[in-house]
Amino acid sequence: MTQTISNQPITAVPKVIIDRRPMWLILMSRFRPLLFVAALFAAFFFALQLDPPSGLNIAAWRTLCLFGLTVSLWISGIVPLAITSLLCIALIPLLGILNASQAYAYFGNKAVFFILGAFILGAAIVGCGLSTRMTIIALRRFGKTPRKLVLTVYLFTAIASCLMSEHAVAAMTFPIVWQITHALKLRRGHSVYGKSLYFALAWGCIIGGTTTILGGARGPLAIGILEEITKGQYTISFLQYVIYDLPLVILLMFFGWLILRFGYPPEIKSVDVAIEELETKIHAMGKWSLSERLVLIIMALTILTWIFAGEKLGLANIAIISAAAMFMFNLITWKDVEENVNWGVLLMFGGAITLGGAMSDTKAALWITQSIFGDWQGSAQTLMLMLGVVSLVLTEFMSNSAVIAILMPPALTLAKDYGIDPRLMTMAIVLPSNFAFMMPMATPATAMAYSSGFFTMREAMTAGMKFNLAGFVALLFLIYVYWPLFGQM
Amino acid sequence: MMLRPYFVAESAAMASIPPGIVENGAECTPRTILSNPGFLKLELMRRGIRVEQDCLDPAAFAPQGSRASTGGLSAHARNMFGNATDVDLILPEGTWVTAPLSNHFTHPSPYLLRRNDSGCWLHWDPPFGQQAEVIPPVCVQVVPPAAFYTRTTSTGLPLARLGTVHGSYLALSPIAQCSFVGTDDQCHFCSLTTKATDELVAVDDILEAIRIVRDTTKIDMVYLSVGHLSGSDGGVRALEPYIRAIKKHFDILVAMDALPPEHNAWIDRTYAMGVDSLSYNLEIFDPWRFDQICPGPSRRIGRQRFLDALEYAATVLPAGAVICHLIVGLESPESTCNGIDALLTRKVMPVLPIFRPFRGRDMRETDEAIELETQQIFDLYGYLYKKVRQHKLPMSWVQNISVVTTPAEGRFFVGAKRPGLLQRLVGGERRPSVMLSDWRRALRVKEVDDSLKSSGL
Ligand code: SF4
Repeated sequence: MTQTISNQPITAVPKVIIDRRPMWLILMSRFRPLLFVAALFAAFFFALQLDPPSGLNIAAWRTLCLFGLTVSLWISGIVPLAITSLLCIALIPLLGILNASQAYAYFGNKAVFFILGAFILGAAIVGCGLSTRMTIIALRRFGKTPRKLVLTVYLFTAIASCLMSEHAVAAMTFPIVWQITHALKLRRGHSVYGKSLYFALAWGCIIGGTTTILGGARGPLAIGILEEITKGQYTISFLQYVIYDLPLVILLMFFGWLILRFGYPPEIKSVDVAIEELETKIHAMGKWSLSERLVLIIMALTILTWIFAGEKLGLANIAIISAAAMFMFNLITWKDVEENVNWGVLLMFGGAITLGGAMSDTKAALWITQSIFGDWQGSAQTLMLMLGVVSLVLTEFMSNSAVIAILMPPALTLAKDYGIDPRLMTMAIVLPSNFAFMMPMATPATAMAYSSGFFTMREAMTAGMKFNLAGFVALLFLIYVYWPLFGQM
Repeated sequence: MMLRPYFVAESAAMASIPPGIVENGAECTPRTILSNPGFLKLELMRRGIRVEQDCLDPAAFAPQGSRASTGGLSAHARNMFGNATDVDLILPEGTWVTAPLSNHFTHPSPYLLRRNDSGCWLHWDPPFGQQAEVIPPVCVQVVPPAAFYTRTTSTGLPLARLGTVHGSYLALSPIAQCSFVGTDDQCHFCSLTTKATDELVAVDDILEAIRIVRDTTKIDMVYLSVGHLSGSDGGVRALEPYIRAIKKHFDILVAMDALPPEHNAWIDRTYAMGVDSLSYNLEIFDPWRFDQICPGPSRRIGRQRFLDALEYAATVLPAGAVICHLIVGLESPESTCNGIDALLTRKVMPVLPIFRPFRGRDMRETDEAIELETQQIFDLYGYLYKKVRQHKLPMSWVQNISVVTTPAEGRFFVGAKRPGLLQRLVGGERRPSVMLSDWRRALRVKEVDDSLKSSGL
């Protein structure tokens, strides 16, 4: 019936914030998103009532209205990207753009299943502790001096992001780098060395993630849209993707190294304490477990198959079979999958691919590109560069998958008109869409590094701006010098 | 200061309104008293009523034994709310009053409650043949006593030990503790004799008590009080589980009566955890008297902290929902008026309970209590009403209280009319609904975890 309270003095003050602004202001700020959504839907339904512009059939006009609604919702982020995508798929048959089975069939795109397989493989790597062990081994082995340690973080995260999602790499490396800065007693906001370690982490992940289609969801999404719009005529293999972007990756990696080497001279002489800490951690992990070894073997085989037989066997099929192998050898549980698979990204993909398909099928994409670029007198290269720059700018403010979903359908239509290889057009958009170097909210890797408190938003933006410039120069090189070597532009 | 929501005068212990007092230029006679619910409320609270034997089913009242025999807090409750047995009435203009049942032999009240076919009527009927003229009776509504007092929780705890029901309030004291009680720090007017213990009433018992009361009585506010506990949080941590549970299970307003915490952050927490109305009762505005009569609060908390905490709380809680009692009769009326002004400038609602002496602590003997003329009391309530109107503070948070004259009832002392329905709705004369109050909280309160999450990092 009774309970007892402790009479010890309570000193901790609770953390509650009371918003004391006038109620109308609070209501305005709380309901602004709702008002925005209401206005958006009002505009959408109003636009649907209008007659289509000349040269556009009713289905294409409705697709364009839906495209506007979806893009606005994606950009605003008021509802999760995945929910916007689902809404978009549901509205396509309701608006009579495609029939329901056609609309939902787009969801079954290979890209969706490839990324699902990649997520499951990533979950196995993280779940068995292989990723942590590899990180610690690399840092302990190569990071003997302050400069070498920064370089190791940079290279390791870059290499790891070639093999798994850069977000997962950032998430697994962050606690280890945090431990290093803690062991070295680096002061937040003051330590230059601390800044360089976290920048190395963020930049390594972003640049590494650009290298292969495994680095993030945008690559598979772009390839999925490419395949849908070109009706399977064009695709990009695992190796092709790497070949197309390799010079850009090398240039950016070199540029990043220059900044880290000369922009952030370390104020400490030794990292022995941190290495000792890592030693302790690796000892605590014990010897290589059987599951770690098996995961390593399956991953190596998977990557080799992607590289050498990807085109023949299909990237998604290989990913799914490898994921199944992980289950057969009991290396992963369904609980791990539930925890590590970003289902939201998968749903977002489905919606984006469906919308892209509808834009192409109804010729809405063609109309929009003709309206914008109909009188374009410039060269094909300039057009690609221009779209690349648009992608680079947009990605700082919105999800890179959303950038791909928005830009790809019209860009591929233009590619056809200008005789540009659709694969290269895809690369011209997908590569800059990953250059989220400036704003912490643009990508989880930068967000995590920023949350360490070692560098300010301003510092992130200044360094990011330099990277964006470097990215632009690298893109120039690809478009004007490197890609023409592959023949058709 | 804590553990009792409002004082009432001991029946017939203080001066009643003698016929002949001048009120706004008019004679205050039995006739005017019966026609003015404010006067009548004060009179009934102070002189009690007699009840004609056949007018009410005696079983309808809480039997004397049932509350007297519960011991513990009930003894405290009896002292707080009138001797042993009282009756809640609703006078004209919705004026609630708790009237002690007058003892026929020692303190006969001139007010007699009778029932006829058309309802219950309050008559001016002085005993022993004092009646000089026949005065038309007033129709009143008798509130059936809450079944509360005779029930127990499923764990066997008598509900009467947990608190009391008055008007539309349920007053509960789940933590019968105050570290000042039984020491030199105890407030001189405090009737609490319970030794502070570590025992708390279980949250489930409190929930059950509220459920039982709600099944039988129409209450819209639960009033929780706590005395001085060790720690700097002003009892917030101790009451938090109860308040959160009440808010989770019931659509009901929650008021809390406590001592001010050391840091304002605890006031934020108080509002965040579900408190809709908050009282830090200074009780006495005069600094010297406060120090003398409330040694514990004065030394351990300090008068200035009371005022600062009240001022801060008024920026957090809804307008009019931060309350401070100033006891009439423990300081000069001028000092009470200064207190009213000081509180209202801080947007705090003053409430004026009347000092009630009780056996063993009759402060009149030590000159700590001041006998006030009835007119002075009338003037104080009139002053309170006018000042609250002037500061445009909504009076709705303190309404339907049967044991104290509320600020809104101050209108009876200045001859003001009852606001019309529209004015009551628009002008904050109606207490906000639970939904509105919860909605305000949801909009204004941000847990820090939320804000970190919302930063997206
Ligand atoms: S001693 Fe004072 S503070 Fe403690 S319960 Fe009594 S009145 Fe309140």
